[in-house]
Amino acid sequence: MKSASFVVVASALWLAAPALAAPLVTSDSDCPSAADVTTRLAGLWSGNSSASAMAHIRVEVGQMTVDLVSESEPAVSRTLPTEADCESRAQAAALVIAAWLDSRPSGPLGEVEPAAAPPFELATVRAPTPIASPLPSPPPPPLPSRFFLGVGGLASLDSRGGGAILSTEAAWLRLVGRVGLGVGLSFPLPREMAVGQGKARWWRPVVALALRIPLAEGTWIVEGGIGPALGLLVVAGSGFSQNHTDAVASWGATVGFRLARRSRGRTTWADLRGLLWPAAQNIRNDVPGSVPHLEALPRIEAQLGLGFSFALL
Amino acid sequence: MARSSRVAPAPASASNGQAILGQAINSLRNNHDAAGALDILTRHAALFPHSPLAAERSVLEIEALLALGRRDEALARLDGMSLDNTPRGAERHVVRGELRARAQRWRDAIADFDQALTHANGTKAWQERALWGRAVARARAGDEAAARADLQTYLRLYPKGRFASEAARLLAAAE
Repeated sequence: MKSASFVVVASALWLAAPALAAPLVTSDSDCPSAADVTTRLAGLWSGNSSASAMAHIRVEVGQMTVDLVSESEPAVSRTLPTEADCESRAQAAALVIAAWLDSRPSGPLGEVEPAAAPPFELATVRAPTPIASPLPSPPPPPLPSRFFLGVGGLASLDSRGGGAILSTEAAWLRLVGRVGLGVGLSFPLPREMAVGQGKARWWRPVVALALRIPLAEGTWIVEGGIGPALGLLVVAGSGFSQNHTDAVASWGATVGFRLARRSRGRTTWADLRGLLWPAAQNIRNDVPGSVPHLEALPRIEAQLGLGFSFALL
Repeated sequence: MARSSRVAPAPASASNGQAILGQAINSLRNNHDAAGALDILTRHAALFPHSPLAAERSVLEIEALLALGRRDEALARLDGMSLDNTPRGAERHVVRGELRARAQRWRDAIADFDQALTHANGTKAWQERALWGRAVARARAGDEAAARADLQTYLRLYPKGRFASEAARLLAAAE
C-alpha cells in the first residue's frame, strides 16, 4: 500500500463524516460511483466502529485504488485490479472499506485488551514473568488489590478538650475499581470529667468501616474516606456515694482525608478525620431529693495524626 | 451464537468471492458469529487462494480469531503481516504488541509499540495503550530507566488514565 495524496481534501471533509456512521465515500468515476459503493457498504457496515473514517475511489487504467482515511492516521491506499462491471467494482470497494475501517468497538482486530497490569516491581523484578492475559475491553483491567496493615497516633479535639488516640487499621486498596475499603480500630486514652459531686472516667474505643477513594495519585496520594463507626462508651464513676460503671454502644459516622506517600510497600500517612455521634450521650449523677446532674459527652470529634502501613499482599 | 452462515458450493468467480467475503463480514460483525465467519473465510481461502482481496480476508480472519480467544493463532497471522502503511495501522501495531507481550516477546512488543508511538498515529486511547504497553515491555525486558521514563510520560499525558494508579504505584515502588 502507498500513502495517498488526497489527505488535504479528506481533511477538509473530515468534519462532515460523523463518527460511528458509515464512512463518507467519494469517487472520481461513475464506475463505480460513490453512491453505488455507499449502497453496498451499507449492507456491510456494522456501525460499531468507534473511529471516524473516509474513503475515496480512483479508477485508472487496469486498476482501482481505494484511499482509506481513519481517525488520526494518514491516508493509505489499497489498489486492486479493475473488475469488468461496475457492480463488481462497487462491491470490491465496499469490501475493502468495510474490512479495514469497520471493526468491533473493543479494538480493530477484536476483543483484545491493553497489555494488562503488570505484576512486577520495576526495581526488583528482572526475570520475565507472564503478563496477565488480555482481558475484554472496554472495562478497565482489574488492578491487583493491595492489602495493608497500619498503625498510627492521633490527637483528638472536641468540646471537652483534647486527647490522644492509638489507631490500627487494615485496608484493601482498589477493591472495586478504584475504591478501597478500610477497617480501623481506635483506642483513645481514658479521659476524666467532673460530674456533680464526683468524677467520671470515660473512654470510647471505636471501630470504623470506610470506603476509601483516591482523589489524587502520584508521588503523593490523597485519599478520601467515609463510612459508619461503632463506638463503645465505657464510663466509671468515682467520688460518688455510690459509684457505677456502665458501657453502651452507639452508632456514628466517620469522614476523613489522608495524605500518603508509598515507597517499596510501605506507606507513610497523615490523617485528618472527623467523627460524628448523632445520638446524645450523657453522664448522669443522681442525687436523692435533687435534680440529677447531667454532663453531655462530645458528639463531634476532630482527629489529626501520623502513621504508617505495610503492604502484606 | 448461531452458526447459520454457511456458504453453499459455488463456482469460483470474482463476484462469488466477493459475496463470500460479504457473508463473512456480516457473520462476524453483524451476527457476532466469529466461528461461522472463520468457516466462511477458510472456504474463501480454499476457493480463491490468490484473491486480490486476500489482505482483507487476512484482516477478517485475525479479527475472528481474536473474537474466539484464539490469540496464539491470531498472533501467528499478525506476525506474518506487514502493518506499515495499512489503514488503522497504529491500532494493529498496538494489538500485535500486546499479543507479543503476552507471549513474553518483549523486544518484538517494544518494536510494535514504538511504531504506534513514533508517528503519533491512532486515537488518543490507542496511544495510551501503546505507551502503557511499552512501559510494561521495557520493564520486563530489563530496561528499567526507559520503562520509568514511559511511566512518567504516561502519568504526565494521562493523569487520569486507566493505568494511572498502577503507573504511579510502580514508579513509587521503583524509588
